[in-house]
Amino acid sequence: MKNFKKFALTLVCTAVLAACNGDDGKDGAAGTAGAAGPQGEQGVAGQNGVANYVTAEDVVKTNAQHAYAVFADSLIAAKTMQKAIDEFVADPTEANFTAAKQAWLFAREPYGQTEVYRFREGPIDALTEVDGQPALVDGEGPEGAINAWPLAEALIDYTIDMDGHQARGTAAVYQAGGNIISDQESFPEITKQLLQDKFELDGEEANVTSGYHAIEFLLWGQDLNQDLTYTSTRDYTAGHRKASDFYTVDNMPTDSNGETCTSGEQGAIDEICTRRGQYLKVAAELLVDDLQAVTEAWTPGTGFHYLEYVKPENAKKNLGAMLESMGRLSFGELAGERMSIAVRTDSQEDEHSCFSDNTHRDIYLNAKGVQNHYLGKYTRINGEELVGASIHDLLVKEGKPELANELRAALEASMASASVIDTNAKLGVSFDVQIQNEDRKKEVYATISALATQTDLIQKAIDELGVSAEDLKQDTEEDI
Amino acid sequence: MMLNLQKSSLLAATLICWSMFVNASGSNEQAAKPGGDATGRLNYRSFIEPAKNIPRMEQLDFWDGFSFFRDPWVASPSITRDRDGLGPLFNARSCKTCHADGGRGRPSKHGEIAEPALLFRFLQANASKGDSRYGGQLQPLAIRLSHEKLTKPVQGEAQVRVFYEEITGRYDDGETYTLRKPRYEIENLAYGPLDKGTYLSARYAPAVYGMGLLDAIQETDLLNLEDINDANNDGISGKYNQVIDEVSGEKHIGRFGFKGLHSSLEQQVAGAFVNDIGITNPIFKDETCLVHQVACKQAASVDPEHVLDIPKKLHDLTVYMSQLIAPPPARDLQSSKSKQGQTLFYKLQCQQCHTPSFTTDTSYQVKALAGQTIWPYTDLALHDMGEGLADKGIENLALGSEWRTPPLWGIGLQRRVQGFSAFLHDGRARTIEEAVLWHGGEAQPHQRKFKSLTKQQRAALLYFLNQI
Repeated sequence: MKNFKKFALTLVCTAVLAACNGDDGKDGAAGTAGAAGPQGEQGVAGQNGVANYVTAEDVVKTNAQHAYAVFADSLIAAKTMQKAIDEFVADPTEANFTAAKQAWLFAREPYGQTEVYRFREGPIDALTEVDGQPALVDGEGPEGAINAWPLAEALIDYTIDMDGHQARGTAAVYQAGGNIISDQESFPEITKQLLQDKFELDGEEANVTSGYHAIEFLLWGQDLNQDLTYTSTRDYTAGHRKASDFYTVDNMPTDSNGETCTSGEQGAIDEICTRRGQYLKVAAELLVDDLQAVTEAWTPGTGFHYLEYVKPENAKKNLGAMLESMGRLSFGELAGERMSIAVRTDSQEDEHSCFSDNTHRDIYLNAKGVQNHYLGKYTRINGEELVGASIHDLLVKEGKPELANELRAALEASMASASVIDTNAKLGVSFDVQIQNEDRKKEVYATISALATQTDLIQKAIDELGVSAEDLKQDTEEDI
Repeated sequence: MMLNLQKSSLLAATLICWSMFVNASGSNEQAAKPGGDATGRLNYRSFIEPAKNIPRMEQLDFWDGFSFFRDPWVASPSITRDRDGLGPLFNARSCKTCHADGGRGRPSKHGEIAEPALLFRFLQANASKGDSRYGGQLQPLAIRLSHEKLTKPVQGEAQVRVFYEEITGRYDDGETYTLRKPRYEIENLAYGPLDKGTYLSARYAPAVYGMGLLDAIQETDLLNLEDINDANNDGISGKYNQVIDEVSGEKHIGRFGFKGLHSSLEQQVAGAFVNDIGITNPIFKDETCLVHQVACKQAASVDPEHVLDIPKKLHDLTVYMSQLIAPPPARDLQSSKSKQGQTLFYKLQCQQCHTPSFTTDTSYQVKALAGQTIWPYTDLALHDMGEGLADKGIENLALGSEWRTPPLWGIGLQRRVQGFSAFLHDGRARTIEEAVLWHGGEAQPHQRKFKSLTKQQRAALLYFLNQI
């Protein structure tokens, strides 16, 4: 309650000042009240090193604008990928195969930075339709359809297991009913609708049929060793799917070297490769649809969620939500479920992008998203640099320059640490191998530890700004 | 007349005792932190919050354990060894299917097949055994596996369709209310008809937060509350179920499950793993296939023998996480409405079974949970709740009409966190108000008193229950 009052008072002061400061008074709640502005606070702010005068509303608005930018970039990159996939399926040359995989890797770059927009009942977690209108219902959003992992890849296509039960060559482990691509009888047509219907089949989340990781599996295949074995000691190679998995009599590429449709083994029937290509195409199409919907919700000026998010009366709540999301992604999700559990159990399955061995980017980009949130910055995929009102400036303006500085430094330390994982992978030691090597494991743990430190400071910022759920509960108690 | 007089003086005596007890614990009212230092942060999205008093780096274990709660299991053999072993028969692929957001699962709708969160026990009337063909628990799902060892596919046991009949009642002030009484029809029985006299008893997955703190209550503190023959003549005859601990072989009181069938949280988690998901574990090492379920046995034999689906190291992590899921903080305890509700709670004698507070064992193995003063509002004992809620079976000492008092902490957040609300052992009550109105048996007098309150008083009591 005390914090709440303080905060309210700050908002009033802020509004008074905004008109005289030349910041963006037009957005302030009471910018026109500015006559009192020149007194005191401007000078004090200068001494404390406030680079930019900001209000909570400004920070939230910047955050909404950057949400649009980062989801729009994800959409643009996904469309580019879709085009590359369509070209590859039409003409499955090695060059087109490589181009499709490159497009997938590139599409992950903006998306990884969107993840900090989760954990707050926002469009990614909650966008759905109620009576034909877009609406937010937590848990009903497209996040799972877009990015769910781990996925039960055996539901989609052929795989082998570690016990010598080879899905190829010898007795099939998964026969009809277990694999959508091979089961023509149950699933005669592979359509977007089918993927949506079978998503979380039987109400279960492992049955991921769509999204980045389904596409990743269809492009790379299972992350086997170089010799196509699957063993608990892994090598540096990613999945080894062959372009011939997409060969049909109608699209036989010039570099086919006499091969025909394969499905983990030679001489598969043509329909299987046709269906696999069709699956890949509709999965890309569905991903574009889902990203489109989220991007629309965040569109400045028109998106239904954007309009709601930037309302002055929601500023405190959304500032709290930003910090809350930063903390949750940093620790429970990234440090915990995406790193610690993988190291602890030496489990490839707990590796985010396990087919392409791109997990180092997921880690780096998730952490980057958190830092972006704090600094009010985002670099678009075309290189344009967006800079706006930041939590950092707000903390300084609120008289907490030490905390601001500590948190800035902690985020930087995490990025430096995450870049070691990133660099190791780029030098050939992929994340799934890093977690099997004692020295590399130390580096992974160093990142986890840096993320823990940053999370403690994020929590401190939540408390000191008085924007925790407990601080704000007076506003939301009515229906509880 | 005479009897009533005696009763009311007894009530007064109980109230005096009560106030002595709370004074002894250092506070005369509900604490803002129901889990003591092990309370969580307020979170409107999920009940999965670690106890606040564990250091950040230890929280890693919590989130690592959470991945086994959250992630779905797949059929074995698969390419994912750490996550396989589902089934052969099962109710759900993950813990969170039924304990969504750490709370209760999606409620079942009238006329539809029961949601996974509504599990069914097979019970024989007035006997402590299940069905000869289907065992003690309906497992509606089966893995879809083809394997050389399998001569035919495994089949899920059956499905249950849920129907609700509306019952109307009337408060003393004339206002009417409507309750829903469930009825169940079993369909698609895959292994032949049920035994004559087999009944279905529904169990709606409970919320999982705060369980470690309940586990940390000393057994003697609970047994002190026991009064099987109502020797103190207060109309309440709490008794504890007696169960054999699977690990030690010793007899303990059963404090977990709607009938108090598990003595420790670890065993409760292990039981849910093996029965609900088909994950063999260090405590329950065998799949639950019955003798005649040939395909189930064949499918179970696909896995190498003596290899547990979840090894001890990871099972321990899951248990640790389960212990540390924190109860949420209380909300408004200070308004006059809330205080009025609290006063009514004691005036109606709700605390006779919904014991407000305990101090946990100072030597409990998880230090963060030891010696905490907690406010769960349960005695964890079995009480006769009347015919309206009764099933027909006997589970250890629990008769059909007897149910274990559920904790009340955090129930007011259910709608906000989960987007729906459903209460009681089978989820029939759509609101806390309906749940109160279903109280019968030993709690009949309390229910009558509730019905005699004014509308404003009822609202105040429910408001208080929503805050704790």
